[in-house]
Amino acid sequence: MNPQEHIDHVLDDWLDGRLSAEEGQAVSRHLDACEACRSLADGLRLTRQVLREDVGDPALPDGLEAGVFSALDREDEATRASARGSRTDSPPLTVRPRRWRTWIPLAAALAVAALAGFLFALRETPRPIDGPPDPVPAARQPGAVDAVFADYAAVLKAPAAFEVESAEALAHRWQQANLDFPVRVLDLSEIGVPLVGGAARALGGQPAAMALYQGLEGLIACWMFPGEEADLPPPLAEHERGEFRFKVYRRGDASLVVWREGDVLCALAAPGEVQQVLDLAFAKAMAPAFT
Amino acid sequence: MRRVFAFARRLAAAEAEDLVQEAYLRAYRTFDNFQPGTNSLAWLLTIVRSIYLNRRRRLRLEPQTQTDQDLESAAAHALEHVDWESIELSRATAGRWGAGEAVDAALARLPEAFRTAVVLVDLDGLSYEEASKILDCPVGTIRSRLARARRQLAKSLADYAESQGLMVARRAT
Repeated sequence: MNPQEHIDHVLDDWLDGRLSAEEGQAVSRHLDACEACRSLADGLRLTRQVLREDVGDPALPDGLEAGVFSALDREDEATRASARGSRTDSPPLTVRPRRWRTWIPLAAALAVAALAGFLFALRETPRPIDGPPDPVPAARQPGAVDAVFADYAAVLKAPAAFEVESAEALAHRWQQANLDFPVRVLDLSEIGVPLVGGAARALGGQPAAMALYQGLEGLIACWMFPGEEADLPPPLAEHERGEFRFKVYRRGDASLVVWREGDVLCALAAPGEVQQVLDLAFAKAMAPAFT
Repeated sequence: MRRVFAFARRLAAAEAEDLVQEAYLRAYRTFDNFQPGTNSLAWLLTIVRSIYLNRRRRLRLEPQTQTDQDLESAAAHALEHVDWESIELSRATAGRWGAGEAVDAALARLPEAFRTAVVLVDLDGLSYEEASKILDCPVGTIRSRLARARRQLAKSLADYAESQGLMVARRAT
């Protein structure tokens, strides 16, 4: 047997850490004694280092990302058109047409669990808001955003106090508070964010329905309360996605996204960067309620 | 998307953008097949490769499946007596003497089977097992293709260093 050939055969496993401790030590002892194998190992090690450090990924061609988004939009539209057509026929669709803009956060949530820095965290360039900006109201209510952040901090201090066993239990809890505005317990399980608690709260003296979810990086709180967008303070940024307009605020390590859904304002607070929370807010806006 | 595009470009540069777009569409349509907790990048790359192979089959272009053991042996033999210590190989200098470009160019010259193995394991950081699923071959095949690819690349690196005067001479055998 040619010992060099033998060691050559296992060098890649050794470099990739696939050998047992005992096998690795045997390889190391051989390399100490065998110049030829040591030279080969040095070359392979350097080559792998150059591959990982100096051979970079090419830049995305201009328009590729936009082209992919457009293709996914067309796919969504075709699926929804098919669903609308099927409603006049029987049987009805059993699967709700998926919107890819909820799929991205879904994929991102799953990807983060599987692979850090997953490429699915596509970053959407904020689209310019069409039309004139919202008029600055004479009587602005910066308290609404302050109140949400304050409530979020209070919830994080004692999350156990808000635990609920189910969406039905939370809906019942809200019902007992006699909230006089439409509320719904949203199902974010599709994106791997389970409901863990909630309660009827008071934001600056105004009633609000709060739901608490367990995200990958911490607790996520979502409120629904009566209010007007014009009463909100100037945001850090505004983003438009589909029919929704999201206002973004940041306080400490938390990001807050506020938007209108029908007759209520929705606010979602979570730890993490603004873009991640924005993706989650959009998923919430598109998510169905528990049935 | 950048990693997916990089992988597609190494498979087929001229078709890379189409491959990426079709892969995302197929991934979206079949997302229910994705198993939470598994490597989502690996899943996407599997889709890219599947589309690539299907296209080649439709065009009756068989993917290269070179398994030249002589090529691997020759490369390994040539590396036995390279004086790597004579080359300034610190991390600070590797970028300056064009090592990355040399290896990238050598990567493009590799047979497709070898190239995809080293791209998946050394560039994308996938395990042998994940790479074997993407390439639909046994782990042992991944191991041998990876070994061959790395030795070819190492030989190219040594040749380039020598041509740049960074390695005065090879050690006497």
